Amino acid sequence: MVTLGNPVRMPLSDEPMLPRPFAVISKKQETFDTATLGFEAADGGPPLAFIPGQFTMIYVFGVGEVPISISGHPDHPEVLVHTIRAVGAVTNAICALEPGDSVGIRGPFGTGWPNAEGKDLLIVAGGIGLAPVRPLILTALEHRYRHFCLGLAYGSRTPSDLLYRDELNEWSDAGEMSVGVTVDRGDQDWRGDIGVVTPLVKRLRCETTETVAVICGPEVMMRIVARTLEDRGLAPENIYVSIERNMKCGIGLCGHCQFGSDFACKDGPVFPYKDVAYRLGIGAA
Amino acid sequence: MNLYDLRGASDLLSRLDDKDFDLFESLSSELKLTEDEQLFREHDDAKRFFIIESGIIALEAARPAKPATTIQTLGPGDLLGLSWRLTPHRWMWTARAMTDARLAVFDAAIMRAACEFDVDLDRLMWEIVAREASKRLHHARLQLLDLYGTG
Repeated sequence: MVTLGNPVRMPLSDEPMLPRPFAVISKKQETFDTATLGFEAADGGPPLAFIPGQFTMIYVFGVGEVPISISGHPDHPEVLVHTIRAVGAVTNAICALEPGDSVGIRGPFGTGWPNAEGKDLLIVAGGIGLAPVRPLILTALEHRYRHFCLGLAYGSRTPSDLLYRDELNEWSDAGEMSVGVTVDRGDQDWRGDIGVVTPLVKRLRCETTETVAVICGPEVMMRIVARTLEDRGLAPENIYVSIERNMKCGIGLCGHCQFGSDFACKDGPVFPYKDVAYRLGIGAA
Repeated sequence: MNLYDLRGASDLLSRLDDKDFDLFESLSSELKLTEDEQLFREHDDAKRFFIIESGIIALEAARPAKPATTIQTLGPGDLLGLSWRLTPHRWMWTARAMTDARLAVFDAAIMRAACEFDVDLDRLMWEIVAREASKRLHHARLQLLDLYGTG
């Protein structure tokens, strides 16, 4: 049985509380409420090197600051990519930005997805949860030889809510990764699966005792998927989840994101499922 | 693909011992559907059941003066059709191919007779149908939660 240990960590920057100026250089509207923005350092400093799974704090001047997972390619940090769903004042303000606008960015913060080199890699994402695993997908595809089986199961509300639609098709058509996509409600043009994401997991046939599973999405979804994977023989030690809480400082000082005995911003957001299963409602006394 | 290839992917076939698998294999025939082709219709007699070999099949609910709504889809390895086991043996939903599809077909009357003859097979089939119904109820409840709407 493979046990990979803890999620990957990297040291903080010298001044983690000081935002650096970044400029928006690209924008793509993914869905009616979600946009992908590319940012470039505007202070002449180095790009933000990161590992897949980490997040930054994006500060919209005069509005506020929010934690957003990084969704770009870690080998190309010169453009910092974030996919943001507009759900509140700050995220609405970020989604309203246009190329040339400026923001302050701190980070990157938190733990990253585990190094699954040499193992089968099964990625299960739901809704906006595809964004935090996109760096992992891009890395895995670029270094495809590192995994025998590579699978992605993605669930969304409707076809019009799907993120990265072009890329989903590319990833699937290239044959390098088994891709399953399902929606809760289809439309007249939808010719894919309708229903929850767990049946796709089974169909991808990417579950062995050598599989590392990465799950990102609503907590109920993560709990159900993790339990399904456990039932199908995966070790809890090889299942990882990304936990979102109200991250503020990003370095485990302010306590806003306390998650049991951990701080989601510092000890997470990526946690081994075995360490948080009871907090997700599984095995609670 | 034949039933042997499907055995690992199908909850039903994987639970059969060799004797019962041979019975299923001998009683199966193959059916090909093209995209949008209707397989069975809500409230018609459930004379057959299926294991999907390839493609996606939608379970639809008819609505007056509106297009049918797809409740759920089933894919390779899935058991399609539970009503053949439950009186009054009428389909609860309409089934339509969302893509070109290939299915293994079983005659419901013959299979029910086989179950009457073999109490162990009968018990196993009840358990499989009950488990499948429970799973689909669980999935339907999860869909009702609208999980992805909030993040």
